[in-house]
Amino acid sequence: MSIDSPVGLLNNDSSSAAEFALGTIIKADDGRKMLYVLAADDFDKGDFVAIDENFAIRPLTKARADDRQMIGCCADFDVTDEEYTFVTISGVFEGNIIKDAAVDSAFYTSGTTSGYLDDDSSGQKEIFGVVNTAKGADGVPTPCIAACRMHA
Amino acid sequence: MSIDSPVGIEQEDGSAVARVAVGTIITASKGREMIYVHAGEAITKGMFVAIDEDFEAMKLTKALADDKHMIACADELALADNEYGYVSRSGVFNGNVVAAAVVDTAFYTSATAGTIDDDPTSQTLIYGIVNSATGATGATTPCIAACLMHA
Repeated sequence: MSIDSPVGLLNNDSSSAAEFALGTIIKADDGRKMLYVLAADDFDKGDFVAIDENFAIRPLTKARADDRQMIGCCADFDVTDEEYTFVTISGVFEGNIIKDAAVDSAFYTSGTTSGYLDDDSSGQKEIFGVVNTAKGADGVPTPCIAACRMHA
Repeated sequence: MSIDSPVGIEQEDGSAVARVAVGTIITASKGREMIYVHAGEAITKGMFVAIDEDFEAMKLTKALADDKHMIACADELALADNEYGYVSRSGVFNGNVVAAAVVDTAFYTSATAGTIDDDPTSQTLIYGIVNSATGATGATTPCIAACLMHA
């Protein structure tokens, strides 16, 4: 996938050493904006993540959303703890949402599965900017649109 | 400091003449998105600003936030009145928050133009911004703006 910057960098890859400065933003050729981060946990493809001020990513939870950390999605591939990679912060991508969530749902953190979005608001924190364009299914990342940078 | 566009413009420099069109947006280090503005008054480094439809930056106040102007922080530089420069609208940066504001506080405009405050009394909420360290007197404080700041 081509990007506009930095020259030559691919956003469908991860590495055990930083190839660029943490916090680097790229604009992908499919309308996404992506942020270069360091994994502080293992992630499945599609997991939503909270990003702290040091650009470390951890599974999205209510507590981290309450802290108003930046929010992204590991939309392109699985990520291993301590790897460097790009995560999607806006645009069109596939993310992990709870099964059976109706199209164009408002989303919240999940009380049952860290890293997932849920259409059940009970005791959870709303995540602004993101909706799904297809119904959520078990174990399969779901098409989503983030019209702006996702945030709590 | 590197930026992705336009080539050759440094975002820590202010200038008396416009080097690019006001309203130009760049992506910068630390996950920031910055916008090129014209200062409508002298702005100290770290101050939060309101930006109008002409990309004129003024110190953030409740009145300007109530007008739903764009909001940013002059985290890289002080701007003299009538100077041009880049200000940060999102990402990780240091800004002026009131002393002793606890970490991950929700912020509001304050009675001190250009400074945000965790006291909501008669002020307007600024969405998207929290501090990642306790606010200190006379020092800029690390902040995260997860999205474009707005009222």
